[in-house]
Amino acid sequence: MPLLEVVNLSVNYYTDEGVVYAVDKVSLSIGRGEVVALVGESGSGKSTLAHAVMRLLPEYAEIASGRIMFDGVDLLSLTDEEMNKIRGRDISMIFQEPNIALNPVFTIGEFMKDVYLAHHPGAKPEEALKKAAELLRAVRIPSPEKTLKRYPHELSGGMKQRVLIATALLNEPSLLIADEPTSALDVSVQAQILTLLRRLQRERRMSILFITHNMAVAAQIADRIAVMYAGKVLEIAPTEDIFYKPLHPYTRMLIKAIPRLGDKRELTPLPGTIPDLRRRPQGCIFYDRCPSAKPVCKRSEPPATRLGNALVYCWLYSGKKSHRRE
Amino acid sequence: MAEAILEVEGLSKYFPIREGLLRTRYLHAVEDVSFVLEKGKTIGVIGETGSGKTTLGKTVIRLYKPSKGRIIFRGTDITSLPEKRLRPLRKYMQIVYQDPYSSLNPRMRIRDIIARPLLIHRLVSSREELDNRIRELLEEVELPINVMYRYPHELSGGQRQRVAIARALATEPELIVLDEPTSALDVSVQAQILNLLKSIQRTHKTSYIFISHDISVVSYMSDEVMVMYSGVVVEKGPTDTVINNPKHPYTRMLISSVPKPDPREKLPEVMEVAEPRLPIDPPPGCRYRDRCPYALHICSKKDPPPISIGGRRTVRCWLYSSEAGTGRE
Repeated sequence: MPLLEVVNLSVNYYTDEGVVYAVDKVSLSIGRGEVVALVGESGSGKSTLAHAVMRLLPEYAEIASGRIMFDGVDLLSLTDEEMNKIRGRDISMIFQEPNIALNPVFTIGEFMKDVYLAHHPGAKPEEALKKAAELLRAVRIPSPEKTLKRYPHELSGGMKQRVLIATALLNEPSLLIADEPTSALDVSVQAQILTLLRRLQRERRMSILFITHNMAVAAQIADRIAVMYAGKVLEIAPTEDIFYKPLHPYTRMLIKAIPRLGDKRELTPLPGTIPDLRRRPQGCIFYDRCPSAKPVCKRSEPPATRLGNALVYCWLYSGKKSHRRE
Repeated sequence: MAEAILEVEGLSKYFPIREGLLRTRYLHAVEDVSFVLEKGKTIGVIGETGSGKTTLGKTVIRLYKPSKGRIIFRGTDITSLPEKRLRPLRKYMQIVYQDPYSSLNPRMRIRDIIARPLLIHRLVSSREELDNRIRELLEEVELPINVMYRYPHELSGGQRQRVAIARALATEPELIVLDEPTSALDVSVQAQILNLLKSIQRTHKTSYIFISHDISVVSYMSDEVMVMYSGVVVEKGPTDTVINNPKHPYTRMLISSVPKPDPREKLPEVMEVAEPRLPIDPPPGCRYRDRCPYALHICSKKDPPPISIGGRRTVRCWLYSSEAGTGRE
């Protein structure tokens, strides 16, 4: 049984300009000890999906349909109290901006202690601080005991992100949700954090849902990649397949648009922009920008087609096997 | 040899940092930078946070006054030129910033945003001429004409950046400083903007100073690159050779840190946990020495000068000097 299974999830935002269909009937699963990257550009819905799993959506959002099965339990059926026990313990989350999570008036030690004690009621503060120091060591922060006495402003961006990773691991989650954890960091710091996460994940056999707009980053850490566009998942496949045998036209164009170090060949951009998320078209969401679009694509939404280890939502691959095109 | 649009010699920019009543320390944001930029070419500036790359870009076009050194633009020494004499030259040098959300005045329509430089520099003499020029510019950046009547908040990030580029092109500049012009944009939009910039350069022979932390983007756009660390250009040379065969230990570390969009090429685990210190009243010596695995004794004593290693490349590193001893730190 997969650790996390999102089934047909739809999330809407209610705004002044109307209803925004941010996530539309998305299904996705993550196995135990597996790293799945959710890759997409602005408006793809990837961050919304991550927040939905943690039940951390804002007030003006609504889960319109679907289930979120975590270890066999539908998270959407839980009370707030029950969800609070899971959030921060079984499922942990780290975000892009470390300054938002760290309260500037508390020391690192006070912060981590609070997180520990929230899920270990009755535990002694010394026990919490000991565990905190242990984790700061695991994330390679020099002088862990000294760091516990520091305030957030005394640490660099990379250090803060390490503290947050350590904090996320305090309560030994089986699933870590990382929402663009390295996007605000310098490339050398990003490399440190990515390789750190990779090692910690392997050591703890932890599952990770890794959200990023950067495919090269996804290539570094993910076992499988789910490509999202305007609220829908278009393709989910093992990482190697995504890069070496991309199926969906959007995936192919995305890969061709990435500048590669040392390669001066002209980049092939995607023409156009994402559609208005306030309307759901009848057919494929990518129809307007797809170079391989057919009449059926405008009329109806493509079903999921399994091809080897990949799952792709595209009319090019549906229907009779003899119509499969490269 | 092609025409040099810009010659920068020994440029430094220091910012005073007041501490208490009597002490003033200085942040050496840019230290002793020299380069030549030819007409129609792009020089890239690669660096991470605190490298000084943005300060360099702004100082070169006199948005800051240099603390030391010289800037010669189109044959004129603009280093200490008074603002009045600088004003007419400003139409030949423009800048495009990273944030397409804050670089456009939210209370002005697109038409007026693009019109402004044309009016300030009196480049049009009638309403009709102004309108034609605005249309021409919008067409060049591939925006529909009706965008003229909109406000910035009605446009996407990519569209706003095109407006910023149109505004920069309005005065027909010979030099444009592009400071992280695509960092806030999606990959697909970024590709559109980069190709647009290349096409503009081919048409108008505009020279670019392209600043970015994204090494892949800088190397895609630039003929030559400068790698900056803590205010110093540690390595400079033709893009291909610097990227494919980096010489400075920092450049090597940086390039090896770039994740490749290829799952078969994984980043090796990085042991280093250090980050740069701000160069405030920096002591003599190489600013990278604390992190450098090859640091020699001389590295903490004397600033390495730019050393020529052939192929129009220079490196500021004692490893490449015959003067340095072999004593290890």
